[in-house]
Amino acid sequence: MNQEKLEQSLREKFKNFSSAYKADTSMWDTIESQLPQASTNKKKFLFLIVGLGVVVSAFIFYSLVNDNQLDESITKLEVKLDNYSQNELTTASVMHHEESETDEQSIKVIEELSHDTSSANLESESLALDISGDEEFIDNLSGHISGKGLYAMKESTQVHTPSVSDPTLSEESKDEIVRLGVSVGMPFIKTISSRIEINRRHIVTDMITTYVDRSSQDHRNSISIGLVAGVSLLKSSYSLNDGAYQSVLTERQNAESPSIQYNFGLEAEYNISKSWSLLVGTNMSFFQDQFFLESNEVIVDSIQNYEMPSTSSTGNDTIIVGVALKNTTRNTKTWKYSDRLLLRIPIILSYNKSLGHKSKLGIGLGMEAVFYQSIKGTELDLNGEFYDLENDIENRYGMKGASALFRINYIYQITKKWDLRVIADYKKSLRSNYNISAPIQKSFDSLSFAVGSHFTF
Amino acid sequence: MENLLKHIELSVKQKRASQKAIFEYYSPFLYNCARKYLRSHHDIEDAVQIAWVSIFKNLSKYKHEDKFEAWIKIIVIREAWKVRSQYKQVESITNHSDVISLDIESELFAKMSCENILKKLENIADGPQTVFKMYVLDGYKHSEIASILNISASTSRVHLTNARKAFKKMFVHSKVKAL
Repeated sequence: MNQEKLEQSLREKFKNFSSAYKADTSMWDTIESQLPQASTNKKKFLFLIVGLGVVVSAFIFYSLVNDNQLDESITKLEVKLDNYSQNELTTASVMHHEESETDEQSIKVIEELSHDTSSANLESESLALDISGDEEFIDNLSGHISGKGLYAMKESTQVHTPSVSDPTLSEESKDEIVRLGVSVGMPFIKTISSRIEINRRHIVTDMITTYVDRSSQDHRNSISIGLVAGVSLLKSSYSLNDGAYQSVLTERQNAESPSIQYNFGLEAEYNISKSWSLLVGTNMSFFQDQFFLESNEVIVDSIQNYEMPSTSSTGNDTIIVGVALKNTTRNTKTWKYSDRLLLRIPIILSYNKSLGHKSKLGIGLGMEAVFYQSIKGTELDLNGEFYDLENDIENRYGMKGASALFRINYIYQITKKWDLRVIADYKKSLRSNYNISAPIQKSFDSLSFAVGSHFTF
Repeated sequence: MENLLKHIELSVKQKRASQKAIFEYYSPFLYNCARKYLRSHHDIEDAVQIAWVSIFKNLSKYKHEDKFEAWIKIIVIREAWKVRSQYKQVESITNHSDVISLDIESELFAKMSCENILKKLENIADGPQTVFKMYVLDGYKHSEIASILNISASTSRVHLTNARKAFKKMFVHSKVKAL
């Protein structure tokens, strides 16, 4: 039979080659576990994120617009104060004039108010009540002006008692920052603009103390730029795209561990309002991913004509000559490293809450784009071989990734312009830089700690 | 399969019921395709399982003008080839340099079952064996084989030549034994 006929015959023979095989339920369970979820969940999540973004954006936009309206209203405000308040406020306004340019407008308003004291619309009792109480709003201070409620709020109180020897003496002074302004009712939240800041000294004796609350300074629309440096603790997560790599995945999960990531970067923060800020940064990061494997290999060597002293059954010394087998256990430790250099660009929207005179706490949410600048080293592949990341002949790796970012930062105002900040970030990988064609996709979540300093312009 | 296109459409949207319907209907077909290329039931099931994951993940790329069976067959053969690549290399008999010129007796060949023929073919090295099976049993062209196995067409031809030599040699041995 010639080759062609043989192969034709073979093909015919295998045409009906089949066996009774029934689909295995357990196999389906395994397959199902590796399939992506229905896209509707993704869509819902996307809608949720977009919806949240729209709501937050609308809120910020509304706040900004409302703040501007309040600014205009307040310059036209005609608040009438009684004689008692007028004296105190005039003194206070001078102090603020020395502290901040932004308060000049307030001073003018205050001075304007102080000139017209004859027709007092604002009841002195109400203001006194406000000043002596804790932080709270006085809703019925003076009724409404141009449809907006007038409010007064005491920011802080500090009592100094310099005379320890006799505290009963009236050697004490109270420094109180009082804000006057207007409030506008909003559907869900009350927005307040505080354009007039008054450092009101309630002096019992002739003691004079100056108290400045820097954290309440109005940095709205200001920009600060700063440097940050820190470290990140990384956690790897894997996704299997090729079932043939199951054993490789298991081995890598057991043997791989990322080292500490070092970060250094530049940030710019724009204060949208007193409480909200938008931060954009650019950071360089470096870390090593380590693969460690330890194995024991038994090597059997044969030694020809080995002479072994022995004693025969008759009690004579004798030498047995033969082939000896020598077992040697070789312990092999393997370290492999892959280096990654990344450029990260975070964008974070933060809400900042004043904690006291000089400090505030910020909570932010954002995204971070990650651009891999270089990947060097190897990763474990099939059959114990290592895949070269730098050459990447199978095009397994892309250069872009993305993470969701949650930030908590503590800001301490060192001077009027400089602040020191301690930052903690949690980053959850949203998109790995590995391509979908990579048999195993790897991504990194991280917990970062950093310190930085910003200069406000 | 009835409503195959509808099931495919829903499977692309990750609807589990449709995916399972396709899985149940075509699993025997994939199993028998893989059976030609792999030795053990365990390996065959491995390849089929991986192939199914690959099929469902890439179903959106399936063009309806192609025959679905042909499309999934290529995937399962590719996965079988990957599983085979994990086998330890069997002793290759393709390295024998003596030229085989004896013909195979048709009687002897006709008596052999498909299982026995596959068992015999297992003695051929992986590359030539797989190419031989794809070319002879499944009727793929060298260009198609090259594309599926990710090798060049010329390598495919070389593998086929070597497999043919080895195949002939095996059946000559069988003939001698039978005699």
